[in-house]
Amino acid sequence: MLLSSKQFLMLWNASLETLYMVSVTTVLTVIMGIPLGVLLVVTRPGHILQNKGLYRVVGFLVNATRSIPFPIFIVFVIPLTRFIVHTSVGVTAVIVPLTLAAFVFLARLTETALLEVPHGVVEAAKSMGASNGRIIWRVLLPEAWPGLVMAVTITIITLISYSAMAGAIGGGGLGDLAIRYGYHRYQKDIMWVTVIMLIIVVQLVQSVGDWLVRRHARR
Amino acid sequence: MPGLISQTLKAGERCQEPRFPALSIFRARKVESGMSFITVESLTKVFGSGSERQRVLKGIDLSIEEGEIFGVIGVSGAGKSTLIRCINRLEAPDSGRITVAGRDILSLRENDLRKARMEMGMIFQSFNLLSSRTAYGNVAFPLEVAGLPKPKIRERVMSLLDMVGLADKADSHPSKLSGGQMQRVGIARALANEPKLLLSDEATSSLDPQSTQGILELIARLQKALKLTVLLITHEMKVITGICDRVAVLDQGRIVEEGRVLDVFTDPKEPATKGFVEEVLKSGGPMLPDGYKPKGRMLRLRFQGEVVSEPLLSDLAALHSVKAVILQAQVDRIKGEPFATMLLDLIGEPRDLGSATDYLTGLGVRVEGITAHAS
Ligand SMILES: Nc1ncnc2c1ncn2[C@@H]1O[C@H](COP(=O)(O)OP(=O)(O)OP(=O)(O)O)[C@@H](O)[C@H]1O
Ligand SMILES: [Mg+2]
Repeated sequence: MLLSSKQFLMLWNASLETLYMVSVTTVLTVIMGIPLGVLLVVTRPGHILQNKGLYRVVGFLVNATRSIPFPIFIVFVIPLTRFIVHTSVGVTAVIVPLTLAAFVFLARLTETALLEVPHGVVEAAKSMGASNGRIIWRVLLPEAWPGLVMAVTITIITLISYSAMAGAIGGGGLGDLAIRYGYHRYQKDIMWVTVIMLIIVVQLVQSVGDWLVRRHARR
Repeated sequence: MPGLISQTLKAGERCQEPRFPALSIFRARKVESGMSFITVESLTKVFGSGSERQRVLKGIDLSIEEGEIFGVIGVSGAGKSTLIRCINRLEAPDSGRITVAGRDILSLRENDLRKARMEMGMIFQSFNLLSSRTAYGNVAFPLEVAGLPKPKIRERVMSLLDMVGLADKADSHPSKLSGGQMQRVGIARALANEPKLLLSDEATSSLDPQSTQGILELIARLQKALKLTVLLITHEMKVITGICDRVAVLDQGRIVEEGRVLDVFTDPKEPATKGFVEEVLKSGGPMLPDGYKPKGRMLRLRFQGEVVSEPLLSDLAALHSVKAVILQAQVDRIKGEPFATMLLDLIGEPRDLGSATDYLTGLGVRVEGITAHAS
């Protein structure tokens, strides 16, 4: 199965596009998702910044966003996408729905990871006079570190697969290539190569995540 | 300690020598003479509402003196944890008043509350150590909170770990420590900012008897060395008899009995207290040997002090023509004082039994007739 230089170029470009989409959205997702996850935990009843109203509203919005299937979500947020990046097609346009969907996903995973931290540990920090900020930065996040790494790993993998759906709005990337050539034009070799590449990338991300967790656990 | 000195300290207020000088946050307060180190007045706490409504503390009054080890004992659900957590406001009571070193705890604002907490160390049943940090890191945590510079922290952590006998475990994570060792780290951490008050919420309840003993001894030793006031809660009588000076019995949200441990233990008045005393006595062995049929009168004797070292039973047999079958005998120590409990089947004529009982009572032995029950 040899690829022509044209096919090779297409693959190369698609790979770069995927890399671009996934890395930019990962950064944005982590920046927004982890704080939102923290918010979902600390505003819970009985927690350091308990606020029933805020907790309920944020929880509802997160659930609502997560209820919408991603292809529909892309269409649904087109007005917002236009507003933010002034276009609704192309790789950059995909970043908006991708980030929005992924960051609420990561927020829920972050919440789960943080809830694993025993409440007694938070109380102990409180009993030592720690401020809420210190409890978040020096207790909750470090204590939940392995869970957080897992959460980010799962989110990145989900992003890779979501980015493949970006073809719907001319998003580009490896997934788009596989659908356009492999499915619509029936060029099986392109499809195989992209699928194999996607498998390798996902394995790689998972391995790095596992390695980070293991390195932390080995003590 | 930098950053801890109370900002409320005003010029001129210094002139009076404070009664509780080590507590910087409390230093500014003039302490009324005769005021206890901790006072709790009419403290109430309700959890839930509607049909879930539960009155957990129903008006608690307590005075704890500086430098004593004060124990609160009660069965599960009595409200012990809630009570101790009100002292450093991990729990917010509904009404009442709490003062520590003369300072009204319930009126403290966020900032002062955090400073006050730094001066009230707390240890927990489940240790509550940070699993991501080593023993060293855990003890360093409260010092970071207090804003100490790194080299100072290092110096202090090492001496604290040394104090609890864990200098060689500085680099171990909690997962590599035994329960007793984890609680030692907990104690070092609680005492890091040199508090004068140690709050202990069932600190030994998840430890085996041997580690429990070790931790109790450590607390007693540190209490003396650092002149700590200790408020501890427990459901185990052996913790109370082991190290406490005074005890309060908490039952369904009320203090039902309070006093010197020896007094409460040798002469319990309330059913709740008697239950705990029973528990200790029973733990010494079964009440009666299997199948034992009482031949005379079943008596329980309790005595303390000089009588403990007297040949009591020989005298009894010689002077009053009665015979005694010893069914159970036990000598405990309460704060170092020997305290004996004996279960006898006293055999003889009713007249002789009467004079024997009077003889014992005359020696200061508490005699109690009991209905025997097999183990
Ligand atoms: N945060 C809470 N919300 C609702 N109810 C609570 C809460 N904390 C405690 N309670 C209830 O208050 C009662 C007393 O609890 P507390 O923890 O003070 O008891 P305790 O004497 O310490 O018991 P244990 O020996 O089991 O620790 C219990 O019935 C408990 O269910
Ligand atoms: Mg409790």
